[in-house]
Amino acid sequence: MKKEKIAIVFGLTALLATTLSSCGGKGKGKLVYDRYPEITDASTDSWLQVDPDDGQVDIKWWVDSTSWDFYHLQELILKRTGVNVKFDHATKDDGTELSTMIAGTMTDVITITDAATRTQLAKEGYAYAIDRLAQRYAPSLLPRISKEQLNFYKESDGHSYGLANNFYNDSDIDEYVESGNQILPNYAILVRKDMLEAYLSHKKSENASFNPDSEATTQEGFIEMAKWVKETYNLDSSNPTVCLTDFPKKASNGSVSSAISALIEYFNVPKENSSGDLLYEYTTPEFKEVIKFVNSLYEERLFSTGNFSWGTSEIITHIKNGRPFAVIGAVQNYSTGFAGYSAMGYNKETKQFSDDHEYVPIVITNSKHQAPLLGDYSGRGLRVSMITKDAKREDRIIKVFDYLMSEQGQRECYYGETEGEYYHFKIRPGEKRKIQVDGKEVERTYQYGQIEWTDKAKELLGRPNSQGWYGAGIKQISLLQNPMYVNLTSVNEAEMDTYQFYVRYNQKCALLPYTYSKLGFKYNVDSENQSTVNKMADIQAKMEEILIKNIPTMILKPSSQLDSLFNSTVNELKNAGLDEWLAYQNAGFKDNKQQMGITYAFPLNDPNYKAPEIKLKGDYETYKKDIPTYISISE
Amino acid sequence: MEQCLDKQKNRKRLTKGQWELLVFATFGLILLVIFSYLPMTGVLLAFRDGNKALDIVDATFGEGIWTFQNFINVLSDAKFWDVMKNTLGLNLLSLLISFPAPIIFALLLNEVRSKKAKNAFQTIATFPHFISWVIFGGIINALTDTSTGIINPILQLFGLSSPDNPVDLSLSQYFWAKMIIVSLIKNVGWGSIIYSAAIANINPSVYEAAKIDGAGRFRTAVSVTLPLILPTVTTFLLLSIGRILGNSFEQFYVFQNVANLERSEVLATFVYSQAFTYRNYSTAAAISFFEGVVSVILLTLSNKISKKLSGNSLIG
Repeated sequence: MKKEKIAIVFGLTALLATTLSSCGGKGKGKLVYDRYPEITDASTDSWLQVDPDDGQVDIKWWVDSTSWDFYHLQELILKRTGVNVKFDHATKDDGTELSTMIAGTMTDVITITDAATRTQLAKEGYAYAIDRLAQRYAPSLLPRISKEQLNFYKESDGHSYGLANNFYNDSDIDEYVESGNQILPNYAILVRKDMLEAYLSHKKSENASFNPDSEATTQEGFIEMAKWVKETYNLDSSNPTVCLTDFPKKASNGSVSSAISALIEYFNVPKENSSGDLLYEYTTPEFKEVIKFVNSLYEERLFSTGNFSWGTSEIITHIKNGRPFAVIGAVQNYSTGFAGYSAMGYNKETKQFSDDHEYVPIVITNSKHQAPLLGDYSGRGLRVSMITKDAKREDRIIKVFDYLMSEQGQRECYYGETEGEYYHFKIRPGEKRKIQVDGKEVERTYQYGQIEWTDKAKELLGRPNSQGWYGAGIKQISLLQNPMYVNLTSVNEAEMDTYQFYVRYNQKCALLPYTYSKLGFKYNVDSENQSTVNKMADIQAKMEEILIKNIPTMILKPSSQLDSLFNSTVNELKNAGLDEWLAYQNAGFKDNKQQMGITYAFPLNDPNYKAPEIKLKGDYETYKKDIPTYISISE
Repeated sequence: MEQCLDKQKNRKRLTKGQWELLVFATFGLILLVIFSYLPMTGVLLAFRDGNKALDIVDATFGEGIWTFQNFINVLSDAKFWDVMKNTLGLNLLSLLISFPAPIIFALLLNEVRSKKAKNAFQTIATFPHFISWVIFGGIINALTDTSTGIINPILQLFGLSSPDNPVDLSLSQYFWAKMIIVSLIKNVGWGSIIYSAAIANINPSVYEAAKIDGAGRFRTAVSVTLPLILPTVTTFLLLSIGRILGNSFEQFYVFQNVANLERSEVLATFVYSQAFTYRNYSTAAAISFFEGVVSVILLTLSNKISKKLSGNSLIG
């Protein structure tokens, strides 16, 4: 009996201990950087220097994003580097899966967005330093990472622990701008063209001296126009007159709603004061104007409360049916809807688009009637890929990074595996050509060359169904994609090789005169002290929670209560630690401006800023691009 | 003497059958330990500085100070009290409405004479319980959608809504009512099963006696059936009081949006976001611990009161 008792107790204790120990991951560890043989030849691509006896390596790469499609990337990477990458992505966008993974075993590579988590993973030995791995195992990668990227993601120990996608290198932007191009704005307000034109005709018929550029661009002008459209076209709640794109439960990159962020930019809500210090835009009187505007839209029943719970698919459905008169926000995320709706109005015989199927951008201004200041896409990265402590073969993974960062990797992901099959070079990388910019002849060095699709590719890209081109292994988006690569190599000098991307470009290009570079606001903060980093991340999360809860309340309450609700929101933000957080951010902001050699990041503060002329429809004629002839438009 | 010793020996040694039972019981015990007792060690995090910890085991059992700071932080956080208001408000309402609903339904069902109709009603009422909250929530959200749902056109027939000014049931002012109604639809049938079973156990002679005394159906239900199922009702009432700070996480998560956060954030969703969205593990553990302590206190108190007033109680 005694033996039996001992056996049972022993068994249970062992089980407890095993389960308990498996609750956590391997924990902090000292990462070893010399487990595998070193490569010294920096002139040859590192992935070509893999020992032939070293076979295929299987790794897992997890992405903290719900909408990432990998298509043929796995196949391509395996063929080029011998590493079989099994991609996986989050199913929810609230960060919970990342927390669970960190607490358990991590995949070999993770791609995340949260800066505080990234810093902590780096500091506590959960991720390898990219530059140290590159030095030993992939020396050819080092020159491929721009100095500004290395600096931006440098932790307090001087090393960089991740590589970002959507990182705009300065040299790429320079080449693009010097060749007469401009990066598109991130946000836009789009309206149905037929309704807009009908309203303008109606106003002209009422008053011949009606000036749309001065009268329809005010907030009151927009509301009047939306009211007229609603009444004339008999729009009810199933046809939302004004659709605000997304109100998520969690903020992303400091934005609590892309529609609110769009209006913040349209109404010139300052992020920097006249002394050059950072402002939290949500506390400014100009932001109150944004809320007041949306509140008025609600009071006039131009905005439906159902909008608060619509996800991307619901908004796309509304757009695909041409229901909303206006769409405000990050409209590019809904371009399948816009393209689908626009294609329905295309007449193949006359090759004309019907106005009632087109959405065009418009300009609305703040109460001072200033020209909008729309931030462009350019940024310092969105998602950062890190090689984790649990990686089985960090020496091989860094070579995968090297391949994806290289010109070859960028080209093969986007244009396909084999030159001649889906693409051919029109201009080889590094070649120079004389081009005309604003009537002047300048010499442009095509650092990545210029690439043209072959007829075989055009046949696929011309189809409305994206599965065709993705299935063929073209237009793949890697997690280390340089966003300027496509713009610089494209014969159109913009990503518009499919109908959807053509629509996306042309919907925004008219707003280019109002667009400025937001790089001054893309700064890094001091990450020396982890507890400070965590504390600041907590304050920011609390402030964003307050805004996410209070903004809908302010929109839906009677306008008479707006002032007191706004003031109490500002007080809540202050109680959450706004001042301390702002001081911390301001240090990074000022440091960034100093490095960039600028005094002001917000153009309105710049004494040399010259406001563009306000035009209701922007400037479409100057920037529009023709639809590629190979594209056949169908629903 | 020898015989006596043999007897004692036989009593202590397990027979083959007993061994088998013990092995089976051990599996159950293992499950209980893993899924019920082991997670309780997480409570220790409430007394440690484990927010944003990457290594949870180290944060729980490693070096470091033991502190009540997490409780101080939680109790001094205005948001926590907003969340408490929602949790308590909703659960008290639920206690008033959702708790008696299955009892009333069971009493009504007991009055249905046709066995077929009785089975049909019970099946229809119980069915929603077997649909997950995610699917059930999706159906309700689709029905109540202001653009495409059918609830608004129905409300329009009664003049309670208009195409230009539809009633959006996802807004905060309707949230509590919506939660009570959907949980009634989902759970009333399932909840009534236990009361129906209790009613079925009542001796038919009691009903006959009541009939002889001239009691009608309503009087019988109120004066005979209800008092006889009171011990069951008391047990469930006490358990409900013990869960006064608890909510179904899934139910609230599927119906929550930014326009109703003011009323929809309850302890269950708050703990979830603290632990998994913001990685504030110690804060989440402190809130859960607080919830557990309050539940135990409430359960003990209500148990004592119930025992004193009606003689019915869960324990003791």
